[in-house]
Amino acid sequence: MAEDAADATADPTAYVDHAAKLLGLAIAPGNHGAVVANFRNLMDLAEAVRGAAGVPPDDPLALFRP
Amino acid sequence: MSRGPPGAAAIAAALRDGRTTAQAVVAQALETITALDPALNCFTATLADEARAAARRTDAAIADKGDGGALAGVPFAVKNLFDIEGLTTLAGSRLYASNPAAERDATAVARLRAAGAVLVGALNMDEFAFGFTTENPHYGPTRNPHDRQRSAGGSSGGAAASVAAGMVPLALGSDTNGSVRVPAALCGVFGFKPTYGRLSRAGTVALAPSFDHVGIFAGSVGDIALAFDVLQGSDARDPACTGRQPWPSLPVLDDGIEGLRIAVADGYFATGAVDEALDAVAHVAEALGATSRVRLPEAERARAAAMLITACEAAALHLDVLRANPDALDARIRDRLTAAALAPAGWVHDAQRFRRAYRDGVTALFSQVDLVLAPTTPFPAPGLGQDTIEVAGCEVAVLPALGRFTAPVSFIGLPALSVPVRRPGKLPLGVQIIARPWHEALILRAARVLEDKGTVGATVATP
Repeated sequence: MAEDAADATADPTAYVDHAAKLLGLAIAPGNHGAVVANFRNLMDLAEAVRGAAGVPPDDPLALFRP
Repeated sequence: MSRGPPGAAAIAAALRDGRTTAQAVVAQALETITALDPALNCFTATLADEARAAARRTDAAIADKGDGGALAGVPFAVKNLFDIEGLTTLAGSRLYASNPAAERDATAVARLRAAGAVLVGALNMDEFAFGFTTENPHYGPTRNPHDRQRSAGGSSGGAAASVAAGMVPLALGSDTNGSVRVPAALCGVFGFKPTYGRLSRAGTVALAPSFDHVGIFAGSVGDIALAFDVLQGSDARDPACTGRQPWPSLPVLDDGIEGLRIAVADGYFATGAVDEALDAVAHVAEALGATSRVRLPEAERARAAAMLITACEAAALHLDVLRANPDALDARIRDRLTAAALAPAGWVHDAQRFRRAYRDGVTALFSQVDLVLAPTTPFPAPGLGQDTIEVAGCEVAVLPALGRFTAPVSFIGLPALSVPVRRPGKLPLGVQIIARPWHEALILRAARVLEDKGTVGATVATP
């Protein structure tokens, strides 16, 4: 998972093409730019979630709290 | 603009008193729909024959037993992602049009019908509920009754507009990141999103299951409360539906706001909006005597996380369609879902970890306040087809901006009501009244005070 995220950030276009093939999603040439743009938008959202302080630690016992 | 036709409570009372009949009320609603819908495009299906038959049954029940139910004779309509027995559930998609008809009503539809309400039709929406403007390429855009060149908002645009135009006094929609509150604000009606899990979603088409809520549109606080009380109750068909006892809101609706700690959301919620949207919040705060301000911690990150998780949950739900039939979808939705289907799992995992921490932070906040006020949208209804808009000197994309103030609230399932601020001669704007989970009654009490003071109120848009 960590490698995927790094790959996605390093080269979103190559990542989109590779991941789409793996998932069996055909992206028509006319839509490719829009899909990559949307993917970059998700990258920005993911970056915003990480934020300056980083993501809060996992809380494995949260499931068992009332 | 006028006050419009009678609301749900008034209709039910008139039937109880014998001053009118369900058949007369439903006939009037169908006439209004026939007159106005060609221009507004709220409805994707009108169930005229079924509605007339249901109205006859209601009148017979009243003649026989003297009681047709709490919502006897009240015409209502639902977003077309609710199952209606005998009708194909479209969820705004051309793909679903060839599906067989639903075999049973969604729970929410069944409960309103059991209370005597009469279903008159199914309403337009963004495809798969994945939008904020109800500009549907397959079924056409729904137009804002207050200005037909403008969007009704979305994704429950048909529901909001049908109430705003006086076609029906009551409508149901769904809210994932704002899809009840946003169109309610843009169309000038009340739009209620209860706590996540309060109302059963059984028999509705999901967008993002950890975000989806059933919501209510109406022209008054009393009608919202009436419908909310009818809809409450556990449902084994929806695993997310709470087993908590219903908390009837009508009996406490006029309890006032004395002792309630009410604050205005500051920081993120006081920026990124046009002045009139912020002025609307200030106006509501003044009417409620709210002078303190609070910050929902990390609201900007919450919005980002909400959008990310929503897109990924939706893409997972629709992966088979994206593989088999992508070109049948709205192109914008197809491309957004395709991108989300490719998102690394680590992004979603991070966002969910943040979600838990954000919930804890906001829970702590609600130990100090009972109600929080915030804008519903950053600006009034945009034009149909408008992609960008100027806000505080910056050009921003319309679609993501519309959910700016609603997403951080529904992200953790907080209940919220968008109240229409009275602005004669101006486009509608809404203000959110937000409470801690399960405390919807506090919201409705505050909204009732605002309505009684004339600070908020829905007005029917006359053609």
